[in-house]
Amino acid sequence: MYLYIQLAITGVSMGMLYALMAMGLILIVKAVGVLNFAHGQLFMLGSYLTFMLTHQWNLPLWGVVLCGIVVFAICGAAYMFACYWPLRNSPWKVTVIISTLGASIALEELVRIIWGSNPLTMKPIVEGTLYIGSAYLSYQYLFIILIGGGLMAFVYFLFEKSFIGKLMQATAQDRYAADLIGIPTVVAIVATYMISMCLSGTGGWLAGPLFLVSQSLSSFAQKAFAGIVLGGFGSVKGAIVGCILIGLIESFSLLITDSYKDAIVFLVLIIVLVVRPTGIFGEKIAEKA
Amino acid sequence: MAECLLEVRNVNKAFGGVVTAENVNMTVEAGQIRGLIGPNGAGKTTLLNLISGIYDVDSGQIIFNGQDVTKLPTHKRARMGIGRTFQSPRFMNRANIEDNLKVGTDLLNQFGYIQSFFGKKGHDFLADLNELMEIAGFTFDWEDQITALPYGQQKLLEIVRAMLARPKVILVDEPAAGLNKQEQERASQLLFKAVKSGMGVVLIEHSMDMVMSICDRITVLSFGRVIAEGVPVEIANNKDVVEAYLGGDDDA
Amino acid sequence: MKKALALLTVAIMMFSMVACGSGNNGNGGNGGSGDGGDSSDPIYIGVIDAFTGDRASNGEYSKEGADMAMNEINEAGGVMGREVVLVYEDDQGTEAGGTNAFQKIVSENDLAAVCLNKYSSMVLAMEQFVAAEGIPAICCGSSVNIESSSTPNLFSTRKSDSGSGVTIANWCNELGLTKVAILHAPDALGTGMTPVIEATFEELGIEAVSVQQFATEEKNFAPYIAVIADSGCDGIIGIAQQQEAGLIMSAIGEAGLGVPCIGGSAFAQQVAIETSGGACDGWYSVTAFSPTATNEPTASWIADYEELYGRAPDMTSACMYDAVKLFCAAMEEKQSTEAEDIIAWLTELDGYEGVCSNYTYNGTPMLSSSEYVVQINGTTSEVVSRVDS
Repeated sequence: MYLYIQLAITGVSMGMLYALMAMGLILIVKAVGVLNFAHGQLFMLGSYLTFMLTHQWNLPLWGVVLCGIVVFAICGAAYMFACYWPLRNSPWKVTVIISTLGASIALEELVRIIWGSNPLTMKPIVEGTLYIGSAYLSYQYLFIILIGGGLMAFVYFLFEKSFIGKLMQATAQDRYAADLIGIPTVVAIVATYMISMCLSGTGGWLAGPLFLVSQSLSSFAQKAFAGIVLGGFGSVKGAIVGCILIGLIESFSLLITDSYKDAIVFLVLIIVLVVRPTGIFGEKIAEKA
Repeated sequence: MAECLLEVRNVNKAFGGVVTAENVNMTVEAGQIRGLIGPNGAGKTTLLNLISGIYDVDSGQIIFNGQDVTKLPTHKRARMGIGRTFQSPRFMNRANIEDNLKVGTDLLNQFGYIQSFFGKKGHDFLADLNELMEIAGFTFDWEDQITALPYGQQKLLEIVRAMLARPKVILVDEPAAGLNKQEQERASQLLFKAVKSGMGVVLIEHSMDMVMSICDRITVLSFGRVIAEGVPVEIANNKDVVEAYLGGDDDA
Repeated sequence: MKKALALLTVAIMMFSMVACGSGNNGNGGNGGSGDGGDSSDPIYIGVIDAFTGDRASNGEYSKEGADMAMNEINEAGGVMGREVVLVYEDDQGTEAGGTNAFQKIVSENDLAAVCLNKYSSMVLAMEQFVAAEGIPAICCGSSVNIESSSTPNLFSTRKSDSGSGVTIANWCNELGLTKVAILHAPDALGTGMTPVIEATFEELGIEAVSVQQFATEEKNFAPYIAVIADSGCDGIIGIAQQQEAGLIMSAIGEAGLGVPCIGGSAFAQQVAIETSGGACDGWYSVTAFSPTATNEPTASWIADYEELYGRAPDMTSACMYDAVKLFCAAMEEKQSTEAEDIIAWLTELDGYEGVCSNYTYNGTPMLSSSEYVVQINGTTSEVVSRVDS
């Protein structure tokens, strides 16, 4: 019984991490129409940067949060100007994709040059474990759910309810027209990248204490992508639901098998796509006028 | 002599080997509708894009409201007061009418980013809107999806949206395409309203009825060059123009 | 302007490809000869390990150990009066990368011998190419498949997992365990050692109440540990590489199960100890090498290493050091760089004292036959027992 509670909470928690990455990924897709292949590396970078803030600069928690937001925003903007901006008017969309592929390799090795190749340990936000019967949970898992949920609410409010969010949506749907109406699209795009990096970077910060700060954190992107596809490509809501489902499936599949855990996750993904190709909350992908 | 709002001075633009604008000169005065006509491929939409800033000129200048805007990015020119409509309406298709109208207006200019964050409406917004919708001749529900409106109403609404931002010049690209006679009349009325408030209008249009009836002056483009300029009567009788159109022009 | 920029970019790319093309360590010996050439030419020994990717930390340790050996040998006059030069190639920590690296290094260089890394899956992937090339190769892998390999030019500085597996199982018996849970890696290490442990358990009357194989590059061990906790075991065995060992120890520590835990060699290495966050305390490990060994000549070597590099060595540093030294000793004693001579010398090995182990040839590629059971105390490990077979 307690085993199920434990598997459920770790599942939701992992799902939240994937969802944070997925939201960031979808925002970029919506803003500039290109899939960001370096997204896992941004997640990993977030982990290393927060390691730097907590363990090398020794900032208190509030310092980490404030500096973290600033550092992530700068990285997001830098990433945008490096990988997307010079190629934004290219007639082939694939050039931006290749640029992000290059960035993925560069970021992993950059991180290795700065911090070395040994995995680093990071202290959790609150040390300690919660015991529910025989189920035990590191407090960090609960923090992931809390902070992840908070960020999701913030993103929802930003995009659906605020004027700035409307401007960003207008830019995302039709950059050409948005420019002509007077929306400074470069600001909207930079803002999107900054928010995306903050989301992924926060995910990295939350994951670091649990999974060690190392280059292999970038592989989380696979599950995030699976979550996006499962929930319906293009929809933020779908991405969140899909990712949490992936987290739960991953967790509970351990009851059936051990080594084929990942295979089960992707098997479920295939089945869902066969039954419903656009994903659970799927929308039609073609949206350009 | 009315104030010159927009001047295109000796503008050249070529894409690879294709010359789309060659020494083009054009002016738009306050309260004036400037027609821009020519056979397909003459470079009319390209010229609008050069004025808007989508394309950079190879040489020449765009002077708007006395300022040289040749090097300014698109959105800055838009904020300075160059409005634009399109052949096919370009709205935020997934948003409702309210969002579409609010995004397209000059809220940023009036209030800046912070207050705009909270979606403050301009004081004249509703009054303007009601006046324009009367002319446009239909009503809508704020909460309706923009895609629920029929094509003709969408096109009229696009002109309304452009005017709500109180621009100095509106660039209108084929407003009559796809509209029935009544709707075309409404579109013309909206443009008249625009010029009466002191705006200038650049009108690209293939429907000669509309062009001849509402334009004050007309510029004719062919293969990127201005082949004629003058009042409608002069243009209608110009041999070069007739030739350029190969004798036929009434294809509304 | 744009054209000039494009040309410049292409030029830079071509230059960097050429510059990086010949391995990590200086020239690739394209003009030199490893096999019987001019007596003043350097002797080239290849080293293939991970210098990029997930397993890059292993490559760092390997390079440190190998370089240390090379420098010592050269300072003492080299081999047959000739300088020994190491040629490095990156295998990126993957099987495909390994086979590519091997093909590249042997085709671009005239090598007398080659050192391979400790990841048995990768070594096995390269095996057919090593056999075809006929070049003497020493790896640091311990898989049972390497032990049963019939490639005459492949050797290992380790003891086979089959032997280590028996040692682990016997140790469980020593501790009086009767219901043991096993969590193992999906690679050759995990899949090779586990059946050996299970077979030995059967003989000893110990029940394996839970046997789980985790996924490749797994990071989230909490679910696996939850299943173990549910199984009612009185002991846990962990078989994994360093990257996962620390995480496993950490996850088990968190569960607070309070049962004895025994791990493979990776669990006693520095990386695993550091990344376990203190949860390694009390763990046993069956390992050929411990960074806090007290026997000679290992202890002195560890001290020298720490002075040179400022950190404790990993098992792979010691293995690579020994591998380079073995090759050089072979060439010096046989006064030859020919493959058959080096291989002959290695098959005559009897009691060669290395820093990682004592080496003797017993008819299989595995040259080592001794290992230790250590227990981790804080961050150091103490030898509890030595096992010879």
